[in-house]
Formats: sequence, C-alpha cells, structure tokens
Amino acid sequence: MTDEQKDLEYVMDKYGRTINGLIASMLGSPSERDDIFQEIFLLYYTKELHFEDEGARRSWLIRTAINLCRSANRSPWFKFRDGEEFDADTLMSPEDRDGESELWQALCMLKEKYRLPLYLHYFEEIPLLEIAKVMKLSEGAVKMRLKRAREKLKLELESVKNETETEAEAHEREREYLIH
Amino acid sequence: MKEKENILSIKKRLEPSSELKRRVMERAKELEAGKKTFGIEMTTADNTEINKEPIKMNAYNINDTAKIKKRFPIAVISAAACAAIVIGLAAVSLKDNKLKTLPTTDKTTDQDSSTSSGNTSLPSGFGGGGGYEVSKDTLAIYYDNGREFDKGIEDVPAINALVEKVMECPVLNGPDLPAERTIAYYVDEEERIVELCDERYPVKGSDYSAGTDEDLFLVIKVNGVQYGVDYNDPTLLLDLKAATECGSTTYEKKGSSPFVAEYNEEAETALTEFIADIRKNGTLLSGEESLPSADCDRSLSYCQDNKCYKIRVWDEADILEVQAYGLIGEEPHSAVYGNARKWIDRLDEIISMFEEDTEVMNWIWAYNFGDVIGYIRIPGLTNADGTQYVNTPVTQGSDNEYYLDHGWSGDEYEAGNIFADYAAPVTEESRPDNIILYGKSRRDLGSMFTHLIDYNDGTGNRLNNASVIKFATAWEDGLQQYPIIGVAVLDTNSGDYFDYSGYSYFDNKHTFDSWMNSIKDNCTIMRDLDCNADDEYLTLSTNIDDENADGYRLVVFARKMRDGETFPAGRFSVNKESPIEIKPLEEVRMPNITGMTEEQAIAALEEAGLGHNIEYLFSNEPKGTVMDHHAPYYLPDYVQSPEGDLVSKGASIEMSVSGGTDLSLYTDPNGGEGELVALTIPLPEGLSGSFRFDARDIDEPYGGFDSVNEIKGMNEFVIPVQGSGKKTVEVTGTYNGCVYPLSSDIQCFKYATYEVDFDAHTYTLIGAVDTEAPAKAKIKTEEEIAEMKEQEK
Repeated sequence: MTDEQKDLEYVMDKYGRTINGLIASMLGSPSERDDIFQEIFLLYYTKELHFEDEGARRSWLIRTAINLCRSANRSPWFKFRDGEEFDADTLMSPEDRDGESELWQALCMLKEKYRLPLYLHYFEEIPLLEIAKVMKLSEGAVKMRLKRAREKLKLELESVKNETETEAEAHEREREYLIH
Repeated sequence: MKEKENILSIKKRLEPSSELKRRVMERAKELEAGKKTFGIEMTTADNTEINKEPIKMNAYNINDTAKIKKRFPIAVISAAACAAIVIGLAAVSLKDNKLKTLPTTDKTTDQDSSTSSGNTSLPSGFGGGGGYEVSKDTLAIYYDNGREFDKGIEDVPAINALVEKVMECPVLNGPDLPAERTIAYYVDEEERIVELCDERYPVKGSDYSAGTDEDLFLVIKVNGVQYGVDYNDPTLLLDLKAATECGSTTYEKKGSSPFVAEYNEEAETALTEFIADIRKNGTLLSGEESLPSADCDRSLSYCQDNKCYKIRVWDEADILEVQAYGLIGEEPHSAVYGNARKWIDRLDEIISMFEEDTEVMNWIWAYNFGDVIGYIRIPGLTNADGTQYVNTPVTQGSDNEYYLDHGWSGDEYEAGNIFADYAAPVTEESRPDNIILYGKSRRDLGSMFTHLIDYNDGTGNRLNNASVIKFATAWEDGLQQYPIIGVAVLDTNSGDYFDYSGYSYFDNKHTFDSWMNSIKDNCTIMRDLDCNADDEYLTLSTNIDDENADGYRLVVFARKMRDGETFPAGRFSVNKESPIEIKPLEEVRMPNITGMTEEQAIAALEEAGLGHNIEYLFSNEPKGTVMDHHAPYYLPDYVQSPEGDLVSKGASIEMSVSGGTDLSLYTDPNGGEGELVALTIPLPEGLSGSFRFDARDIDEPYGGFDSVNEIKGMNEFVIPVQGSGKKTVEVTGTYNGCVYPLSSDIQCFKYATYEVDFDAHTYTLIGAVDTEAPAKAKIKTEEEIAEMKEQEK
C-alpha cells in the first residue's frame, strides 16, 4: 500500500463514524448513504489536500459531507433569491417505530439546523467553534441552536416515548382481550 | 436517563461497515494509476493556494495564532489522563504546533533540525513534525490544539524513566500518526522529543495494515522512532499523559453531562487531604474484581502537578475507587475501598464546593484566536431568567474600530465585541495599570456593554447586587475578581470632561491621584473602596444608546482584588445626580408564532414591541405559514424559558415562512445549474401518514428531494427539479422516511416517471402514477416493524 492509501485508511478509521453518522442523519436510502460515503473519502484521496492540522482535516471532511448530502438533497434548500445561507426544511418524517433507539428517532425528527449541530456536538464531541465554522454560523448561533435542539429533542423524546407506551398499552389490552 | 448509553450504542451502529471501507480502498487503488504522486514538501505558497480552493480547508485562522503562547487559566483535562471523562475538548485539535516550522520554510529557527528533517518523508497531511523548542531549563509540553506549557525540569528524571520503559516496547514501522501531545526535554546533553498519539487510535502489529486484531498497540514516538504500548494495558501512556497533564477538575454524575469545575484552591486542597486520608484509613478491598459491574454513580477527576486522580463512587455498594496515573510513586494505579460511606459523604461535600465553569469552553477555544487577550463576565448582571449579559472573550485589535462590528473570532457581528484599548497592549509580559475595555451599546440587541446602563439606576441597588466583575487576561490563572468602585456618566461634548481614556498608565501627566479625584467627582453612584497607585484597575466604557445621549459615555471603574483581601463589603450609594436621564432598558417575552400566518405573527410581534426578519423557504406547507422562529441571540449565555424567551424590546425576531411552491421566487443557493421546473405530483385520495418522495434524474445519481409529512387532505405536492435539455425523472417514495441506521430495509417504491423538458419548462407523465404503492408500502413497513419487535422479545 502506498502512503496515501495508508493515510486514507487511517482517516477512514478515524473519521469514518463521524462522517457515516453525519450522512445517516441527513440522507434517506442506505445505498445513497454508501455512495456519498465513498465519494467523500475518494475526494479526500484524489484531491491531494494538505491540512494544516487535524482540526482542519476533520472540518474539511464534515464540510464536504454536508455539501454532498445537501446537493444530494437539493430541492429543499431553494430560497428566495436574496437569501444568503440556505436552510433545511423538515427532512425527516416523524414515524419510525423501530423501538431500539428512541433517541436517534427523536434526533431524526429535528430540522436539519438543529439536527446537525446536535449530532456533531453530542455524538461526535465536536467543539462549538468548529461546528460554527463548518456550518458558517456564529458560535452564538450554534449555541442557540444547540439549546433549542436540546429542548426540541426533549419534546420529541417524550412524544416518541408516549407513542411507544401507548402502543405497549394497546398490546396489553389486546392480550387481555384475547385471554378473556 | 439512558441517553448517554444510547449515544454510545448508536455510535457503534454508525460505524461504517468494513465492507464499505474496503470498497473505498479498492476504488482508491484503482484510481492510483491516474493519480499524481503527492508533493511531500509543503510550502507556504501551497497553503495559500489551498486556501483559495472553493472548499475552505483551513478551519481556523492558524497563521495569525501560531506564534501566540498563552496560558490557559484552567486547562481542561485530557481524555487520556483520567480515563473516560472527555468533554470534547481534549479530543480536538485547533491547530498544530508543527505548523511553526514546516520543513521547507522555517529551518532557521530550529537549531537542531534533526527531528524536522527526519520527518520530511512523511505522507502529506500528517504535518511536518519537529520544530519544538527544546531547552535545557524546561520541560516543554505541546498540545495538539496549540496550547503550550513549560514545566520545571525537576520531573525530568521521573518522566524520562517512563520514557525509557517505552523504549523497551516493540518498535513499530507503521505510517506516522499525528501526536496528540508532545513532550520535549533534555537528558544527558541529548534532546528527547516524545510524541504521544491518541489513545483511541490503536495500530496493528509491525505494519498496522497487516497484524491481527489481538495485536494492537498505542503509539509513542521517541525522537521519531515509533514504540508500541500494549493497547490492553495502556498504563505507560496514561502515566505519561497524566505526568504532563495541565488539567483541571471535572465532575461527572451518572446520566448528566460532565462539567469542568472552576478553579477552587480550597476544594483542591481538600481533595488532596481526602486522598491522603482514605489511603491511610480506608478499608482496602482486594482489587478490581471487587468493583461493581454497574456504572459508577459519580466520578470526579482532578490533576495536580504531575499526577491525575479519578475517584469513582458506587452509592449502593458503598464502594469508592481511586485511580491514579502519572508520577505516583508508591501509590497504586487503582485502589478499591469498601465501607466507604464516610468518604463518599466527604467527597460529595467537596464536589459541592466546586462551581461549574460554564465559560471554560468558550474560553479555551477563544484563546486560540490571535486578538483574544482575556475573558470577562459579570456574574450578577443578569435578566429575570438568569442570562448573564456580559460573558465573553475580550479582544484587542490594531485600532479601536474593528471590534465594533466584528465578533471575537473575527467574523462580522452586528453586536461587535468587548475590546481593550489598542494603544495599551495587554501581553504575556505586561499589562497596563488600568485596562480600558470598550463595548458597544445597542438598545435593541442588549448585547455587550448595553446593560451597564442598568447600573445607573439612581439608587445603587443594581450595583449592590452585581458588584464584582470577573476578568482575566489570557495569561492569568483563572478569572480574577474586580470589585466595582463606581459608575459615571460623562459628556464627551463638554470641553472639560474627565477623559478617562488617557489613564491606561499612571504617569506624571496622568497621575493616579488626579484620576481618583476625577472618579470621585464624576461617579453618579459609587462606594468607598481603598485604592492606591500600586493596584491594578479595569475600566469598562460604553456609549449610551438613547435619544439625546449622543456623545455621552457610561463608564464603570473597578479595582483588582488584592492577595488575601476579604471581599469588600461597602455598599453603593448615590454620589451625584446623573447628567442625563437614561431611559431604562426593557425586555419582553417573545410570543410563540410558529404555526401562525405571516400577518398574525407580525401582529403578535408588534404587540409585544418586537420587529421581525423574514426568510421565505420553499415549502409544500400553505404559503405564508410561519414554520420556525427564533430570537436574534446576541447574548452569550441565553437562558430559554417556557413562557417565551426574554428579548430586548425592539429586537427583530427571525422567522422562517413558507414561501409556497412557486419556483420563480427561488434560486438554488448550492449553485445548481440549469432551469428549474416545479414537478407537481398528484397524491392518491385518502392517503394519510408520513412519506418521503425523491425525484431524480435517472442518469444522474442525485436529483431533487422533498419530504411530505402527515399527508392529510393534500392531493398534490411539488418537487423542484433542475437541469437542462430533456431528462427522464423518476419519483420514488418511502414510508417512514426517517433515516434510521438500525433498519436498512426501508420500503422504497417507484411512484411515477416523468419526461421533463427543462428548456420548455414542461413535463409529461410516462405511464401512470402508481397510486397503490404508498398504501402498500405503509402496510408492509408496519408489518416488518411488528416482526422486528416480535424478534426483540
């Protein structure tokens, strides 16, 4: 293996999860996600990038992932012509009843502007400043989004939990009905 | 709360499959043939080139900060030193010291270039390495986020003994890994550069791509040679990290996020005594096997000189464990104590002595920015919800204009930043006798120094409740207390006004006595506070954003607490009448306008005394519906309230409003090419639920996209597509579009196919719309989910 390939392997091991998770939080179909994943790392490989530090490298990967996912999801970011930055509309539908992780489910229901910083900060422990840079926001704005995201997440979690509970109750009722 | 565990388990599932990684590697190898070789030597010119690329690579303004060497008032513990506590700080590299001496650009500053030249053959992207200043008088520690520390040489023998042990480990021959921390020192006339790599990234065997999984090592480089420390027993690495840790206390409670504690000498001393006491009197259990299998209830980590402790507590089992790493001498790495109720209680007492340091995060990052010279906050000056109005890094620019409209990170920011007078530099070596800070007032934003106006309340009540400013320069240990002397309102239009801005240094022309007398003459509210020329001072200055207040300044004077001084108890009282009456600042609660129509929302905001900024978004929701709103947050630590956030009266609330589906109103900010066509797609009658629909050019991988939530009563929706010429566009749908890594089989169905003529802005349906597919997918998905649930049981 060449040094560059070793580098690629290393970078993929180190940031694979961060990027894969980011893509998963932005894109729907698994095959599409895999495509984007490959594209990001091959771009990294072919572009001959020099990074001044690890932070810059990671930021580049995150930024590229966001860009590619957004271009994959092009249309929701249409805005009036005078708009500068684009913003996500609701991407995720609120129903995913696989009970294994309410948290992820709730996360998916948030709008992108909340979901992205939340994912990056709490799942990947990326510092606020770096998120601010990759999202092209002020740090204050990221903090605000995180705060709002936490609140919204809490609400979503509650509603997800309630749903599961009601379902469980329904099952219970059904069972009782069958027994009697 | 199980969110934390959930995060971990989700994270595991988010790992890309090895199959996926293998595919990338394969494709990379295929590409190899057509790929140029990497330029190994990196020059400044290369960097500039890269910075011009459309994708901005350089996340931080590194060049400006490379030379800066600042101390961090409270360094944050690294992930390694005390095992699991990470707050996302240590894991991150803002910038790399290695930058300072890139092999081709900076050989001159490095007398002994053996390390840097030795590293020039590294694969690009890993940075050059080398270039550390090695001195015989200090032991230097470089963090990969740019922090640097000098330690005395007294620990060199002990640290070197650890390094000698490292050098007995197997030599690895893998690719160079970036160092997370570098230790540089001299021993026996020979320089030693020890690079500690990230302990979360083990490598395999001699060539890391070869070995087996059992064969995992953590890398420590000594003068460029890679040694492998057993991954399963990383004690050596942890000891080295702890011995060179410049960390602070962190506290973690089960289910809540860990916090970094503000430095508290008393509590740190108590901890030292605590450990000595339990070592002497505690009931030692046999060892790690006596540890409960459950997670601990609380844990506290702290570092001291050259060692780090982590104390873990299990309430129910009455067990307390003390882990120690670093230069711990005879102390054990782990000691488990039973029957520990007494100590657990004492530990809780100590924990309660620590105050959470909320700004530490801001602080640490901020210090990597070249112009940031300190940090300020005023603990008592808050709104009804507890938001601190002043809580931000302080900058010093090359003039007194720039930071009027730039934030501390250098981005344009309406509120500006708090900055020190450029004429009196604050550096590591010296600070002016009196640091004068400026901050802009904006009545509608409430930002920066706006709320200092609250101090001029004609009674002194506000000052009595918020009588101390916390401030530190970047080179001080922890925020220092500055009790306020008084507040003055000055008219700069009058000829003989007290020009406080000239008193950065007390000298013959600007004597301390004349300054003090002017303060006494001009303060509207002040208190008796013993001040003399040897003290250090802080002055806060702001304009007054009010009618008829042009040219007026509100100025707050404060004095640094002296060593050993008890907190001044003096009360504030009115000293003289304010030269102008200042309208008090008002705050209102922001109404919840999401879901309203645009008109209703604007009316509600106006009624509350608020303005608005609207951004229109493409949406299938009814045109004019407010989809989201938020306050323009200019305050650093905004507290959100269920009754609605408190915002300054007159603030403009940001709202996102559905602009409907008329494409003539939109452009593609992503720079898409071609003509836009609004593809209007019919929906089957009576369908309900949540679906996502994609439209894609069948020849291109990516197309348009839209999601439709809660289909009720909708009979059609619009997906914008973009392109040129004629294209075949396929519309697919999924039920439960939520991206869920755990269920890979999302029911995807083909819904319709269109022939789109982009140039003519027309489209025709090919075949028919599969009106039954959505309902079928819905049923199938629900069945599958039920099945999965069954299996879980």
